[in-house]
Amino acid sequence: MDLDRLDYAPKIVVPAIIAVVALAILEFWAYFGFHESSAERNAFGYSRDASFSVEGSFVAITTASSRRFWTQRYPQAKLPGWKRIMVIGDSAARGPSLDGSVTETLRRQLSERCAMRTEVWNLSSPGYGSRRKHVVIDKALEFHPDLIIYHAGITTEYEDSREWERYMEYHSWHPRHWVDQLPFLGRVKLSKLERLYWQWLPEDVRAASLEGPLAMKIGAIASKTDSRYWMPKMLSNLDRTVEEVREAGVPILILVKASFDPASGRVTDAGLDKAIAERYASRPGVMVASNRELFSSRPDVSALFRDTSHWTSAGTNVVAQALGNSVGRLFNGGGSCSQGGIRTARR
Amino acid sequence: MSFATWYFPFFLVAISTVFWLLPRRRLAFIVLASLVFYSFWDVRFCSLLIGAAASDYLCTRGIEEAPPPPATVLAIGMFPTAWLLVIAQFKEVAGFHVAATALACLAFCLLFIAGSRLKEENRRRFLLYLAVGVNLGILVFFKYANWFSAGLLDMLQRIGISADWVLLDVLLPVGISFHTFQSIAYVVDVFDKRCKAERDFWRVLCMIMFFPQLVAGPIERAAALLPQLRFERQFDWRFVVWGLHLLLLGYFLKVFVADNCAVIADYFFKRIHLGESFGVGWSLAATGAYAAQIYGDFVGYSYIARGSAILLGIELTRNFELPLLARSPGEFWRRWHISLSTWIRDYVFLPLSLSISYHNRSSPSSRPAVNDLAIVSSCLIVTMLLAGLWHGADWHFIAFGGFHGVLQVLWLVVPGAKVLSSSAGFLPRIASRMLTFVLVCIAWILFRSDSLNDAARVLASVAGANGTGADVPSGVVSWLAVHAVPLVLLIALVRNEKEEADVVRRSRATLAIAYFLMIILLASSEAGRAQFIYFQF
Repeated sequence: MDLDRLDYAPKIVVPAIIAVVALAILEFWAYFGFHESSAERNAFGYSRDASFSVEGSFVAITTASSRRFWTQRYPQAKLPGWKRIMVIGDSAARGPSLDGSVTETLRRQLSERCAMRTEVWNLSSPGYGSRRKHVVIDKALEFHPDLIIYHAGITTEYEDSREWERYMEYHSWHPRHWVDQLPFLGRVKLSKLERLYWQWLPEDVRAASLEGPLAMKIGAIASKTDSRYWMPKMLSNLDRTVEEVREAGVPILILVKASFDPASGRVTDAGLDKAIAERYASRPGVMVASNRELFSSRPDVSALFRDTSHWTSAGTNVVAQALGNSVGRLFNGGGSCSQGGIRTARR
Repeated sequence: MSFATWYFPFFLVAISTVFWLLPRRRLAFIVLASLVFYSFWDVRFCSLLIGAAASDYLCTRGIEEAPPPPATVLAIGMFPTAWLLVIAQFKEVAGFHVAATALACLAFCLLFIAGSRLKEENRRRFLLYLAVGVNLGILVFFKYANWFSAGLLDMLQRIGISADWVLLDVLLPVGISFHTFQSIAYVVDVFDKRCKAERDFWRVLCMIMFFPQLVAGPIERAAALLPQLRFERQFDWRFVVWGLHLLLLGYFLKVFVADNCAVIADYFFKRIHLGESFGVGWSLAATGAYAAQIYGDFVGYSYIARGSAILLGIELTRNFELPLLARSPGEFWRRWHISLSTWIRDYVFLPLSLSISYHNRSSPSSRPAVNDLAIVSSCLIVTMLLAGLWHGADWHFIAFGGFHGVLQVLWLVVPGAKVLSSSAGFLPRIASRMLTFVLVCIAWILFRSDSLNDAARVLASVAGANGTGADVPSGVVSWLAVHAVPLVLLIALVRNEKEEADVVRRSRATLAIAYFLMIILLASSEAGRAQFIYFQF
């Protein structure tokens, strides 16, 4: 019984102190040792400055704060005669590696076919939807791009919404989140959520277990791929982005994402390309390109997709070639590298 | 207020700090704290607890000595109505509820006053029946009325009578099964002179609604709890250290083990209820997940209850003694939910079997003895059926109790089972533990399923009726392993002790590592994700 066990109390004190001190050491180590603070870590991609750091005269781009950019390094000031293009998108635009990504392929093609000297920044991160892309672009405009290529889709809007709710929760005053805000224990909890909870458990098991306030909000959201629900939200965010980019005087090329249905062999985008083309048809400096149109016209469409939304290297080449033609048209006003490619709705 | 809410630790710290700082009036303070604690669910239902305490107080006084005068009876007996009237000033309370409570209180007072006029032995017996009747009445009405009315409606519809009006929609007050059993035990103990009747009404009220054990036990005996509620202990820093030790264990078991395993178990049983079928792999994983969930949930709750109580210098009963190491179903019940199993042993099984033995004794002069296998077996099954029904108003709970009753009888009548459970040696020990665990898991399937039909489907799935393939995703197995293995390791660490809390008997280094890991694992989980399973009883 408990009163009999009170004699063990003195024995508990030292191990308890050791455990607490060990945890305190880990917290200090995490606070000073990690390259990002827990506040940045808990930004869930909504930190404006995360992943960008100016080192001397260079801009270093790294993975940070749930922002999984490829590591890149560019001069802070544009070199004379060089064009700076930034590609903002999700995992499809990010690519399986920096070398195999659409950005690097585009840079090579522009160099080889058009003799253009370009920096093509890959600012794409898996799961990023319109809300987080807007935050990235807001920061990217500080580095004076000549063109923004925006990969627009609705399949990642769900992740954006989920992460936004998490961001709001983690930054609340609520005592429930005090542990979350600790550098070490907060990171352990977040790792479990991201590495175990979201990755190990099948989606339907996870969904069934969601009962907290955040869960309720997410549960109330319609299907992850319900285009009628997500499209208006995505278009509204895109409007803000286009507005900001145009205010900065930078042209924007919106490449509308498409998905591949292996069963039917068709490439679809739920009408997103038409909706975006109509929306920006009269907007100067805004070009719209359809991934669906680009791929649908090709006989080897199944060879262009690794899965339902990610491109193979052949697919990446096709996209890069088409983008290169559009970029060539924009910067060179025509010429050998601007023939064919994506049919753009440009004014 | 649930122990799993973020605000309970703040509540506990505040209450225990003020408690030890108070030079007097500690009893009133704890009663007030308990009322606040319970009011987080529904402040109206405090009237039930007050009513039960009033009935216990008056009846035990009347059983032990001369009953209180009618004015006192009316003052205390009408207290629940007064509570509702006060509450009605702040919160909406239906007039019908107030009127029904007033009528019930008045009826009790009149019955009590009438019973007080009887001769001593008759009075004692009458007041015992009255107090037990009040508590059972509360339990039956609030817990079983919906079930009975649904059954009655079904029966009437089968014979062509439409009578929707019989269908009741009574809210179930949290923890009702626990405090009513505690009340009954107090009255019976006073009647049997195992315990003295308490002369202070507030102390009886405090015993009924002492917040650490109010909603899910342990079902305390008055002889153990009432003297402690004089709050005569002086502050001892060891209360704090031991209390924190128990609280850490409790939260670890609840938040890390139970709530995470619940993700798998809840998904599976909900889908089964919706008609989905699963193969052996999924069914076994879900059954294992539920075993870990219910263990972590209830054992964890009991540690939190004990830890909270010891912070106030109160010692509660140990409710679990490593039940997963039991070598027979009978031993399992001697280790699992001990306060309930000893309650049903003392207040149902022994009186029932002694009563039957008394009537069957060979001669009027011989002493009754519970040694007839047939009597013991039938009483065991009846007792366990009642224990099943105690858990909930549904056939699957009754089947759960009945199954355990049958198992215990089997261990009495099958010689091999008894030998296996008592043989020394490594292999018999492992085999008997595994066999008991499997049987307990089967019973837990009956317990967890939403209906008998669902339980049958789960058992069929486990037996391979929907295919014997490993249909469970590897992520689910990994998830289960991550959250159940620490529990297995903890039990293995204390396998020769009484309970998990005895990990303090290990070396200081082991203890430091255990604390360190428990805090990290606890912090990695989302607190308050799921309610305690036993709160619904």
